[in-house]
Amino acid sequence: MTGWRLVLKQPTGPRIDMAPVLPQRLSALAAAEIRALPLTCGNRLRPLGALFDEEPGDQSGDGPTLAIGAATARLDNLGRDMAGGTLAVEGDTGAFLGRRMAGGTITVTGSCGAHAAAGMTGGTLRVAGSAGDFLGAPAVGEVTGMAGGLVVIGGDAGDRVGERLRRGSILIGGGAGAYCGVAMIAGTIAVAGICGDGPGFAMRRGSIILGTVPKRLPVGFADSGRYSLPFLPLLRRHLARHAAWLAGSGGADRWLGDLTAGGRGEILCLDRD
Amino acid sequence: MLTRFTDAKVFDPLHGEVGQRRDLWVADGRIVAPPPGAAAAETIDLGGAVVMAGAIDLHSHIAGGKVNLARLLFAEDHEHHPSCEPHGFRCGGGLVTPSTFTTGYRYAEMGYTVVVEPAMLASNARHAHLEMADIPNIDTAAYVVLGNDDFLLQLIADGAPQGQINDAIAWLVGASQAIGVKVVNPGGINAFKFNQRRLDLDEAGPYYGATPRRVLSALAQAVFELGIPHPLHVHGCNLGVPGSVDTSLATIAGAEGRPIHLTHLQFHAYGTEGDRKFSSGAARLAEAVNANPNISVDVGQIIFGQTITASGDTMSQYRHSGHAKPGKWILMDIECDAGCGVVPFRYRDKSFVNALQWAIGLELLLLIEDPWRVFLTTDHPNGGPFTCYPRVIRLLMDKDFRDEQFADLHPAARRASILPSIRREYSLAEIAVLTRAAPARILGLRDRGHLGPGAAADLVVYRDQSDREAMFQHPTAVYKDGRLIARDGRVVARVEGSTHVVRPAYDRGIEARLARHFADRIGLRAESFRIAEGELRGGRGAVIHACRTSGDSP
Amino acid sequence: MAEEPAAPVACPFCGLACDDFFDLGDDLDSKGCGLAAEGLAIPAEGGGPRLAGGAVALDQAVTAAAKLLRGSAAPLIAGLGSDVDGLRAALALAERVGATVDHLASDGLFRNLSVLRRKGMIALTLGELRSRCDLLVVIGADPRPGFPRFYQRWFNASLPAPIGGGTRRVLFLGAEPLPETRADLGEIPIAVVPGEISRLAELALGLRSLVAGDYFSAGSIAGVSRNVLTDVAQRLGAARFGAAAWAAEAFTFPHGDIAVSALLDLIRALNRTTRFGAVPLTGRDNGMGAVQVATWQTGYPLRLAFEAGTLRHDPTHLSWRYRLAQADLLVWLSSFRREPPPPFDGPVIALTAPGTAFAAPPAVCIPVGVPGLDHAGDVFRSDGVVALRLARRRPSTLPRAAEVLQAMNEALAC
Ligand code: SF4
Ligand SMILES: [Zn+2]
Repeated sequence: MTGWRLVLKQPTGPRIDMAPVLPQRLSALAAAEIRALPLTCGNRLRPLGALFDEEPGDQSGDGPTLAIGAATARLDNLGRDMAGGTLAVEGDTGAFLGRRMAGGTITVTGSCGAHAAAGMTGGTLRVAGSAGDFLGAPAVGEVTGMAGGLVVIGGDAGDRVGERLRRGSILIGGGAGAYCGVAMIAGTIAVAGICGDGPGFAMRRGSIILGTVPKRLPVGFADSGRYSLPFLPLLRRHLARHAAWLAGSGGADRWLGDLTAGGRGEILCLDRD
Repeated sequence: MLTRFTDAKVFDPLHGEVGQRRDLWVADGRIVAPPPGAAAAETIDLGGAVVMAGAIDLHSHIAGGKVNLARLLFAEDHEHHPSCEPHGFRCGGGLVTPSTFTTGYRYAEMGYTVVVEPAMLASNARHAHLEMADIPNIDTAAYVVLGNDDFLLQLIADGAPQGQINDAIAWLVGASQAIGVKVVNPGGINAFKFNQRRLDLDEAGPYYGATPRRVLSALAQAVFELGIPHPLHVHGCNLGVPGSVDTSLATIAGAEGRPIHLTHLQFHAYGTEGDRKFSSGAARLAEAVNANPNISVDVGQIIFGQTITASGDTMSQYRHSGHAKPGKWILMDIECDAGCGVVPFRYRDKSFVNALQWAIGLELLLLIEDPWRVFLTTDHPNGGPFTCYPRVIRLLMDKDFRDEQFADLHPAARRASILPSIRREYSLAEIAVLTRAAPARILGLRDRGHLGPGAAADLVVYRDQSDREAMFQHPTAVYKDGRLIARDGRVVARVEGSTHVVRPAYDRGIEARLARHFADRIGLRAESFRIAEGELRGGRGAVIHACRTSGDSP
Repeated sequence: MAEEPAAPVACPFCGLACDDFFDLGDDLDSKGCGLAAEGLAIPAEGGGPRLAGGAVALDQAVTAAAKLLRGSAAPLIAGLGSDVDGLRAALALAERVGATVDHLASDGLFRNLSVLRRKGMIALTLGELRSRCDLLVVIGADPRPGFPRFYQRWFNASLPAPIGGGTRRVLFLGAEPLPETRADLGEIPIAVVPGEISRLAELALGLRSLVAGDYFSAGSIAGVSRNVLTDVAQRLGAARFGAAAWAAEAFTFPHGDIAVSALLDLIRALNRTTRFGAVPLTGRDNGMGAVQVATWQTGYPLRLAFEAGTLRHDPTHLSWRYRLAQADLLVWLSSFRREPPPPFDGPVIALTAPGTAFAAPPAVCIPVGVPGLDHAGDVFRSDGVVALRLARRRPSTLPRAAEVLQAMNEALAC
């Protein structure tokens, strides 16, 4: 057997810390052991079996897989420290989805809460719905945001997407909130829809690719004209494999900044095809 | 209640005991002489286990503003090192910036029962004491940091007589409830406020015009004349700077026979030889320490790995802020008094400089001959966390282990160190001096650090193991004032510690001038600043230690 | 031993902790400080503990509170306005019952803290401001209403000259000073640079690049022309010991912490050639004390939760505002002000200053003494460095919050 499916019994109630529930770990356990696994629920420890019904999951994949059924925003820390395998979430998740994730794949059919992909260093995180604030941003005290891997959001994302992003790509099918890519250090953020206030503020390096012209850029961005290097189509082709809206061969307008932070990052506004 | 510990293998250097097997008697938290005819209410058979007094750390940053800033800055340390204790003990966490409860428990588990916070700012003293009251299972004390405050520098600039300087210092020691006086980069922290980035021993500081040498000698003289048992605790100029060994040698010479304690000497023991212009000055310094009985030192051994440096030396912390790892740091100018700088740092054995620093610390510990005048510290957390002491003890006691560790160092650092040629291995008796008897003596704690009648019953029981690290990491039993607080390296009871202070006498004539300074400069009243005895340790007050009166020898 | 002089008494009603008038035996004189006058008007008598509005003895109230706490799966201890002992007791209780802990004013505190923990800080204390600073830059709205005697005590023309000489100047960046502030400052030259304060982050980074000599092309930032900005940058750089004061609680525009971060970048750039530091104005209701005690006891500055024997910290999801919706019990602690608990869907245990007006009677209400009026205690000043001892200054039978919280804790132990 390579996997389990856990179905959440109650959609609401105290938050549940799902950090111990990882595909690799669970695939090595028997049903009784899984039911006994202690989980923090509110301020108490509860056995997993009191919160979830377990059943055999997808047997087809070659790696360990874990499905979470009837998931809701009660579930925090899903995929925390995940290094491999597949975690398939049917429904929504709470905060810190994929915290410090280093490998494997997480898919979410619904939406995720704040601080998803915090400290992520590798692997793939796909959310069909929207993402909360601080997607890929640093957690408390950390000096950098997400440092590797790929995040694909189908819908909108909240404020401060990719704050202090160090490496990796964040692709957003909808719009993004305020301060998208604030203080980013490197890496790529792409947003199909409209961005809130302050995209790229204080950014040092890296690229923000926008499918929609933003209302205003921070004052530290300088218009550097048309971007027509052959690199752009290559990048678009590469990223379009993960997010179809990026397909296309058009060029882009390019701004450099944030100069007031001594930065030399770029914001690319794609031509409408 | 009378308790008898039978068949202890006693290491009590103060009384010349080096492994003698005998019984120990404890009544009401104190060691007592074998009471003729009395029957013990409890008898504990130690079966020949090694027994020493509770260990004493005379320099470890455990409480107060910069320590709490370090905890704040280093949030990762708390996320990665949670510490939830048995029920009712209160949880906490942190490895290099442990919270108060965690600090008390981790020290107690290693057999430490007294720890001195070495850099309490007078203006932050109330905070430091409030924190110390929340450190369980160990006793605490603090040195107050002076010599960069505008009050003393103005007195020195005015050419005030030594007596007035003594009075001011005595007032400050009493008001801040300290056990000693420390000076940090004499005059340098103050100079940094005038935007001066470096100050050498014989360079006149800005505005007040006092040289660090002058500040040092005024303070050392005051501490001596006031009869404060612990000599002036000196964090010298030029910390971490290649060439600092010359400053340290000049500082020793400048003491002119006055007792001074040079702290974290490893960080001030660098020469400028070799291709990289960075070399060990340990041999020269050890020679000077050996030749000058008025000098004592602690080492500030570095430990490879992640730590955080927290120091009053804003001048040097700002200089090193570019090396912060992770890249974040705090700097503060404080109350016409001092400053603080907090910079996280990672020591790497593959770095030439760090590897040589590691070797220099051990060279100092091994080349200074008199274990009564050299102390084991990591300058926690600046060189590494105090939880690494057992490893350092093993490095001192076990030449093979030392050689093994040395072999992993950066090759150029290996070529630059004489460590492999030093054959010395510390004996258990010497370790008992280094970690107990000597620190008690130099702090003036007459009832600690030994096992004679009248001593506090802080007892540590060890299983004699050839792996000295394991032996000192997990004592089989630790007693604080006669109560069992840790067993096999795990805390089993939570007890309140005490805070130790001295109260040097002074002429109250100085109070008018102090009051003026507070009213004009600090914007508070001197009396707001003074900490009342009843404020300490949740109202339980302090343990007051006597100062020498004239006629006593130091 | 000589007779101890009467201890001076500090004022507990804002983060400045003035100790210059609040003596034992003084008349209730508040030196024209409105905040202090408000605090001094709190009565010494609170009508005693009440259960759902009905009077009971203290031990009955404690027992009732303990029962509620025992049954709670998600208690929230908030408000948290108390002296150090009260804070200690609140944390101990939180650990016992598995509660979330946060302070009323933590939004402002965390705007500074999140930057301090991610990047660091360069700061100075009020004493340095008073005696060394030659240029004070006040950022954003004039902080005087929340810190009424800020200029009177720490920066004005009548103070002795700065150590090392120099002339005091003040620059208001973003907003006009209040008329009272002009009066407090006296002869000090005042410059005012109004601007769009919600764009403070851009403004601060723009100044940073002018100070550092980095190029940018914008002709104005946040409504301030480039010429004016260049002039401000020159003034900042010319200061010998500059201070930038801000009350982060007033940075209520979205993502105020990003503005603080930009200000830190500016201060760091200034320190390459001169000395400059931040003066964070915070600490009402002993908020700095709450940060300090929580940090030394747990490693985390508030917004922490004890859950199933573990300790968790999450500035986003453990703020009291966010947590209100998830908690099933609220313990509301406000001993410096008559601040009623926020609307809450569940039982409330209120430990509040006497005379607090509630929208609905709390399940358990225990009027507690005001630290510094009814009992002694310790509080931290705005800069977080200086802690001051508060004394009792009037006869009172009100219990200390610490005592009450401890009693609840003990009632839960058995
Ligand atoms: S300014 Fe603050 S501390 Fe001073 S008197 Fe007014 S309220 Fe009290
Ligand atoms: Zn030190």
